[in-house]
Amino acid sequence: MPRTMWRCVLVLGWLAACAAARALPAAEGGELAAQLVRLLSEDSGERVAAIERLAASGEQRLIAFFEAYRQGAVAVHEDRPALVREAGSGRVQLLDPLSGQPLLAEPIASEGLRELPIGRRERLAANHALVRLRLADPDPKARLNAVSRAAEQAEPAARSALEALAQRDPEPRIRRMAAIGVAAIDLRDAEAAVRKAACQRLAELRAVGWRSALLELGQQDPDGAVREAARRARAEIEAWMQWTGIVQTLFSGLSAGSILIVMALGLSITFGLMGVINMAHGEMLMIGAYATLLTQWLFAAVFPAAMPWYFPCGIVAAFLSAALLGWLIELTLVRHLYGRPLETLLATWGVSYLLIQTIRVIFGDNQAVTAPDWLVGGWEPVPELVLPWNRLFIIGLTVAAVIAVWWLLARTRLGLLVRATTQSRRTAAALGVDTRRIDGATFALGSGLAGAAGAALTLIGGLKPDMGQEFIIDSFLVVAAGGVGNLAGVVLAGLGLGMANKLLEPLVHAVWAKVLVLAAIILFLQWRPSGLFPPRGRLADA
Amino acid sequence: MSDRSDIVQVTDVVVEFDGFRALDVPYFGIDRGELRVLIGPNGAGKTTLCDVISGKTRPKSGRIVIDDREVTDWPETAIARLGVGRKFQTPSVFDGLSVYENMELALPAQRGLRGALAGRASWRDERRILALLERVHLRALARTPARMLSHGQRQWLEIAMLMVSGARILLVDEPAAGLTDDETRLTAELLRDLAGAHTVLVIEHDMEFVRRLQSRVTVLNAGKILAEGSLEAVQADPRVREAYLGRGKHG
Amino acid sequence: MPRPRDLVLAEVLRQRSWAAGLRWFDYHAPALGALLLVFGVPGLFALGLLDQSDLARLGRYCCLAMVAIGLDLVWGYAGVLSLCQMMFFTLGGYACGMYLAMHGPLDGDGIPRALFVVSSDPEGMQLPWFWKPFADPWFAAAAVVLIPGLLALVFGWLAFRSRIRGVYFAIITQAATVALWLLFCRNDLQLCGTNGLTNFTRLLGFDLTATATKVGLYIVSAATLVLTAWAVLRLTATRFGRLLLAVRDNEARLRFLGYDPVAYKTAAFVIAAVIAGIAGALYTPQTGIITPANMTAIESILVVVWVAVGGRGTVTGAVVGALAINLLYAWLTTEVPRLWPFILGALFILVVLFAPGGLVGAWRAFVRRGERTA
Repeated sequence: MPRTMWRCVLVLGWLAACAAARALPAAEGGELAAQLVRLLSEDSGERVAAIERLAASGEQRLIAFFEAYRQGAVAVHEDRPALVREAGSGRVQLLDPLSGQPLLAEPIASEGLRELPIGRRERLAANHALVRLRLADPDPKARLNAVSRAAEQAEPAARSALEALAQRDPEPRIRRMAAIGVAAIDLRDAEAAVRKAACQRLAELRAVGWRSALLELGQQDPDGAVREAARRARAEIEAWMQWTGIVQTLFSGLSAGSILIVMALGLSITFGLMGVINMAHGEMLMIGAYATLLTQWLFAAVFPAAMPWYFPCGIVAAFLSAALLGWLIELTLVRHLYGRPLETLLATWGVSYLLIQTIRVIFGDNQAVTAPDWLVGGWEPVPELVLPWNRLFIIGLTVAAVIAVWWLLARTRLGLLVRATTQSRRTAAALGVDTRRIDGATFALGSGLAGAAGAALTLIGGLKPDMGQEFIIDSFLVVAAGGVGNLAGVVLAGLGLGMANKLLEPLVHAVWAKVLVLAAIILFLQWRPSGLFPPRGRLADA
Repeated sequence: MSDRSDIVQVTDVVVEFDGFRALDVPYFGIDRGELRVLIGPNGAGKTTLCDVISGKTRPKSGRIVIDDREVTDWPETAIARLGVGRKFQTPSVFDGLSVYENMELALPAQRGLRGALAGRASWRDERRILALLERVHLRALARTPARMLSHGQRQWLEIAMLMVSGARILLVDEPAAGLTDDETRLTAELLRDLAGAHTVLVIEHDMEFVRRLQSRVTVLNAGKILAEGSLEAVQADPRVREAYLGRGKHG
Repeated sequence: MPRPRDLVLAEVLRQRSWAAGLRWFDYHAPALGALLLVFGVPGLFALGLLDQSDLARLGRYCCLAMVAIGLDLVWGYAGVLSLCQMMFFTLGGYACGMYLAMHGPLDGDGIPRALFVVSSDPEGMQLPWFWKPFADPWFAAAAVVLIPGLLALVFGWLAFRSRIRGVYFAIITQAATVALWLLFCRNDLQLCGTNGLTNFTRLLGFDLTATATKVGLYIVSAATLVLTAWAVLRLTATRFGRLLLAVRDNEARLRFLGYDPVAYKTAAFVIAAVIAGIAGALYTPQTGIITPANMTAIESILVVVWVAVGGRGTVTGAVVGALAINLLYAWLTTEVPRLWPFILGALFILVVLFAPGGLVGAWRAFVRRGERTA
């Protein structure tokens, strides 16, 4: 069986690699120890050379050592440097500089300990060594942090390390940051030509954080050409920021509209089918969010190992719990108020009020869900434009929900029955369709969608018992503007409303944006009373 | 066919619902004081034609002239004030009001806001209302809320409301649906009486009822006018026979 | 209306029949209630059976009952569910509150103290231009009526004209309430933000802290409530009232009879808004404060609860519902504060499901049964 054999080979290879990785520091240990001993030398030049050799090793364990060395917390023990750690009541513990293990069984008195000789040059060298060691961190996240810090500090000594990273690092974001760091260091170069080139380089790299440095340079640099280059670079970066800002706003509008679409989709289906507004629809969203929270707690308590996967399960739990609740509301309330839409509106408002109070009593006022690790951070397709994963995920979820609903309504038997009942309840009933079960199923589906929207909402906001309230009006406006029971209309209107809110926000305050949007919708309904895609024929104005 | 003296003139009217051509009429006219019956299979566009005349539905193209005035773009309220009354397919009266109050609202008195604050109807109007209620056997029920009435009584109340409203053109959609034989006979009698002083357009399925009306008949099928003439002539028309029998349901 | 002979009290007493007594009470209950509110309550206060806080509370409830009457006109009669009545109420309240604030303690260049509290820059602050005319009582009184009235006119006309009705209208009105509430919470509107208007001392020269003023305000509120109820009752008995019912039952039919339902619905909506505005103006001096919290979405829905519980489509029902629920609220929030939201929610669902006629409907059924058994 070749497949099994391949697997064996792979496993063996992996084991060998691990062993080698472990063996490597042991082999280097001798060299590091020798360099550490050189730090005891009387000759300052010798000591600095040793520091540089140590820094070049890239050994991360040396970071702690150099931190201590800088602060003078290293003593000589048996002709070797040892880390000194306070153990209380004037006693200290001596530690091995590399492994961090105690060298003696008992803490000893601090008197009589010989400090390592250290001067100004050594401190400086140690600082640079720290920067270089941190830049060599094998963890890309830590390395990126170190690179950003180095770029901010713009110490000329870090230039060569940064330049090396800018060329060779496997991570493109680190390469870019390192290149920015190099340019930032060059900005203070004595040569005017180098400074000018650095300005151009910063502009090419869209180094947003260096606008004020460029502004300063554009005003104060002795060289006219450099001033000009700095000004141009700054203008270029600002134009870029404007562009990414617009894209960012559109993106937030898209994701805000997405949640609205899922909510309105549910509302539109129930409203289209039964002609009633479920005022507790917003609370279905809230229930979905709390179901996600409970799923998280459950995973944390029972399967902590599966924690990264709690969120997909949370969405399913949110959908199911909201659907069940919606089904119950239909069964006990809405069904008995058939043909009285205003009474239904009021009764479901009562339900919404009760749900909010109940959740408030159980969970208190504010809760939050921690997003799973794989949704933290964002996608950076171009420099300085970060599209957060959680929002991308919400958009993806919305697309999936819209497709699923479309498929359900257009391609399945249940969908056929729902559409038939929507168009003529009596005819459908006469043909043997159990319209009551259809009502129940539709209500459950609509509520479930709101629940899923609630799960998605936990990714971008906290949980409050009345969190659904602000969505019910907006999603109803979407249904009103998009046309009842109209998938395309709801999607378009949801996007439109989400975008309009976000686009107006930078221009006017959010409150005015809301007022303007409402006014726009009322005026829009003057022009098209039945929404974007009005129903025609016998269904119209029944 | 176009006759300038017709009180209702529907010219080149096309109505479409999402691309489906519900009505396509080159010319349809009703003479002043005429009683006309509109027949045709389900979905032929009979109710749509009524909707177009009364302003409920706007045609995609074409024009509607009532009493020498073009009303194509008028709202239904204005058309109603011009004297076009309508009875719906399913009887629609005001359930919360008494029979008498229903009649009172149908009076052609001031229909603006100012008229609304005026008092009750004059004694002359009251006598007219009561006389009409007498004719449709609703006199004894004058104080009863309309929601208590039977289906046939509601049909009559609606016709009586049309009669008292001062409308000169009456569009009557399926007045005999769901009535007993006696009630049907009375309804036909009422409509025949109304013709002359009023122009009446009746939509009906029940051929027995249509025969009783003894009037000109227009046959609609799939949105188009198929034939026009006396009931006998129309029934003899092979195209009409095909339209009805081809579907094998109504007849 | 001719008065049935057996409704004369002497006759009833002579008959000594339980059913006759019941019918007599049913017929006269509104008038008795009105007498109790306008004269009875101040009498009880004079006798020391009610204290000042009871009187103030009842005065406020009278104002809220007026809002309920307005809603009943549009919802109970015309079938138009409006979820923004408390918005009109608050607008009226603000118009009155601005007058009161202009006659309260003033700081700097004659600026009401409430404005100072929320201003980020009290130094060199100017009185906003739109505040100035509110110092004049006539202007303020006109604003109490006109601001809610005109807003209702424009909003109602636009909405009804484009045939927004039923649940659509309900939600649009709620959206309007929310939008205006958010707007009033903003400090830069110069209406004191979420703090609202307060620091009132004098109304038309009367000291607001004096007992006599408080009793007077109560009597004016109760009398206005009775007057409003009577006027709306009269209005519903006219052709206008029947037309509103016709709008509720079958708007399309009405249109084909040549009526324009837009005018009637708008008229009813404007009347209700004006009633709410006046109620708000009477409410403000009695509470001593008016804030945007008075027009959150839930406040307007509470008005619907009062009308639904009292009995939709009857003016007495609106008044009874408003007073009963508010008194229940006052009692329960002191006894079992945590339970009140649950009771309210449950009450609401149960009334909608099982007692569409509300308290008045139940009472009528009771009276009819009494008549049958007699």
